[in-house]
Amino acid sequence: MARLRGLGLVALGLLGLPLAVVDLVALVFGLSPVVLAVRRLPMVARELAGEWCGMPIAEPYNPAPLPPRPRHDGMYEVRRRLYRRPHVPAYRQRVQWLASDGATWLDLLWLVVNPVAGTVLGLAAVVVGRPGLRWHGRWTRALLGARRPWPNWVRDRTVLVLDGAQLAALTVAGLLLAALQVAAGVLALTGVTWPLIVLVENSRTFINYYRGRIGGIDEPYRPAPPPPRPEADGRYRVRRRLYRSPTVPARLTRLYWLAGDPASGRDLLWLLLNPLVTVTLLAAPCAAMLVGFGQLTTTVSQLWQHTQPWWRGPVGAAVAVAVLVIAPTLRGWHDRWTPVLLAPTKSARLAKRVERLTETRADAVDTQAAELRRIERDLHDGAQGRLVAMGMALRAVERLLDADPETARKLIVEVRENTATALTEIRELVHGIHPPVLAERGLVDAIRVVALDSPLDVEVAADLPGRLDPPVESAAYFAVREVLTNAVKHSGADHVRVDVSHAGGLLRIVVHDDGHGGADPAGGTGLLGVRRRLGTFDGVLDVRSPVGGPTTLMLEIPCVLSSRRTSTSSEPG
Amino acid sequence: MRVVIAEDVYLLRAGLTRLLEAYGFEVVAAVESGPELLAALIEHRPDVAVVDVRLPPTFTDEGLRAAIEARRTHPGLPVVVLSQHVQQLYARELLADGGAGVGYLLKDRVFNDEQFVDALRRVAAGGTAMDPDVVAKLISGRPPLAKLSPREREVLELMAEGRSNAAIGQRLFLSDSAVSKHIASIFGKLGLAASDDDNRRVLAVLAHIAGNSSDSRP
Repeated sequence: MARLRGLGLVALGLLGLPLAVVDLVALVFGLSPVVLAVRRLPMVARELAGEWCGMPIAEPYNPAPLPPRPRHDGMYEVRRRLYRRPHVPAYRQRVQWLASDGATWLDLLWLVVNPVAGTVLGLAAVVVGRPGLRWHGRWTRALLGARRPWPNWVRDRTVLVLDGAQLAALTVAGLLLAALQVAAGVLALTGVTWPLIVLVENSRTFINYYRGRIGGIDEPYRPAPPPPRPEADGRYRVRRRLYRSPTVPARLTRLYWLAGDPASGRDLLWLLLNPLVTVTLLAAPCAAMLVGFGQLTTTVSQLWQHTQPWWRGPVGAAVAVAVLVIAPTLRGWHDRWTPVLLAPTKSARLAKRVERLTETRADAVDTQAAELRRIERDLHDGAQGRLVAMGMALRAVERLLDADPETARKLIVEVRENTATALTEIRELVHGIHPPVLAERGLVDAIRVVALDSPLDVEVAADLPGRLDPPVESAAYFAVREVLTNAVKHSGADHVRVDVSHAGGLLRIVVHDDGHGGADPAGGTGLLGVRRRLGTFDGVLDVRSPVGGPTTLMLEIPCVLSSRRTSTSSEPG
Repeated sequence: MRVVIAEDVYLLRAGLTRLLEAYGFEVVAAVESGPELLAALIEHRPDVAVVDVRLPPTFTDEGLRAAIEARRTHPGLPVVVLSQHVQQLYARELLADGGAGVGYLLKDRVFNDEQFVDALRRVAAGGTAMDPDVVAKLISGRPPLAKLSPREREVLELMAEGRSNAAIGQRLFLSDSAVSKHIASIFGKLGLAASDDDNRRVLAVLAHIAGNSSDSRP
């Protein structure tokens, strides 16, 4: 019986070779159903290890992801993109789930190695019976078990090498894009421009994906042009030509935008050069490793037949191990090469910065002007008017003092009441311009006052050993106040927590509430205003507010702390 | 009664001096900065000090800090703090030492000279004078106070400002015994031990309100 089972295991192992090829292709191209189908073989191997070899093996796979949930507007979100239907998000989720599971890659390794190792051990079972089956079971568990007895080092490095091979495969596919782009460029000279536009846009998507895979590389592209606007006579102008309809001008401006961006040229150059780099640094070592393992296993399996010199085995093993050792170095070189062409150049970065500054400056000027108008109106309608009224009343008192002292007395009471009201109005106005507590105590205590006055239960935790520049302080204060007002109005929260800290030249304020979430900066003017306010100081607002809550907002402003005294350490409340 | 005044705006300083002298106070020092104030308080040991929150040299909360510092070294030193705006935060800081003889008023209250002088006398006698605006802020939206009836809330607000039973009764057109009954009921609902001493009563109420409100300590 044990012998028959040994033979069965050999047959199972041999099935692995063709499936390994299928699996690799499916993984590279993200064909998740195929990957799942190939999984059946290792799963059968696990079951047999338990039933035949006495080595039960648990399933090591990560649990399948839940089906994607729609946002509040019914759309599905995957990495900052929205989809109307759940199919594409579900598909991308499954690919991500499979590719990020270490067990998937170990299955692949097993498919490659087992045809030989499994054959040897299976044949051993045929010869010696039961103990051979146990060895086979142990081998299967070593690779396919959830708890791997062999060091993580080998697993991690193997995954790294295979990941590199995937990058290499991607860039080879990129060659096709490059070739098509060149052809479309030639075609564009004859006047047919749309293939070039489509290709350049798609290659940008492709290269952005690559940027994301390497990580930490910003997009270098210029901002997209606005849609064409008609001239006074209703026609559209592009350079020295006039058009009656906006279709062609829209396409042309898009073409000039894509083709005129130096980043496009650098992209094309990268598409052409990168295959060389990835094949040398990533694909060739991966192939060497696979061949090395192959040599080792073939040599072992044919040791008795002497068809192949014995030293090929150890050399193969040495090559494979060497690849595992130097893999991170090679990958490091590749990762350092990538930004050479794909990262924004200094001038692209400056152009982007200028654009951002122009935008935030316009916002700042608008906000300031609106603020001044409001102050002017408040003073004009309020205190100024009251002073005039008081002046007139006092003049009347002057006249009435002897003739009608009773009326004069009434007028004086009126004047006094007016001064009180004027003072209250000015107090409120001042509070809106620059709250006194902010001037007297700085940001943290000013936020504490807002917290105390809020109808919600607001907890303030602060670590701010100094004062900020007054403009930054003021911007941060009004931003937090707006955020808290929003929380009161919309969140339905009971408890809010505000954390203020400063580290690495960055002021960070985190506002967390236990409300029902769904806050969207695009939805209301409140958070948009906060974002604008912070933008003037290169600050950012990050909103995390899933439907159902909780909501976490993070405000960050780059700034320095000065050593001016801040709130006392013994403050209550 | 001997007074120290700290106020940086000359017109207001002169006005306050004139007002207080008209009511028979003796202004022993009228200073314009934080350090001067601290020196004057320690030198003259006045019966009451009238202090503006914002003073030179920093124009921040110099006056408030000087007042708290002076009360730390001389517990119970009667101080009335004046400000263009009133904040719960500052009120809590003034009340934090638990001592008597504290006042915290909006500057506008000076207009009503009789009430202002009354508040000053109350503080000098070891009482309390909290601005109605602060009290309203302290009391509004505090869940434990929701149990009180509207009339009891009115009584509580006046009590927190530092008024005596008689003054509360006069304001709300209640008899002395009715006021006492309301106060007993408030203390019962808040779970505080009743006390006949006006000052301790006020401090207990204020401490209770401040302690039970949303706590934003780090």
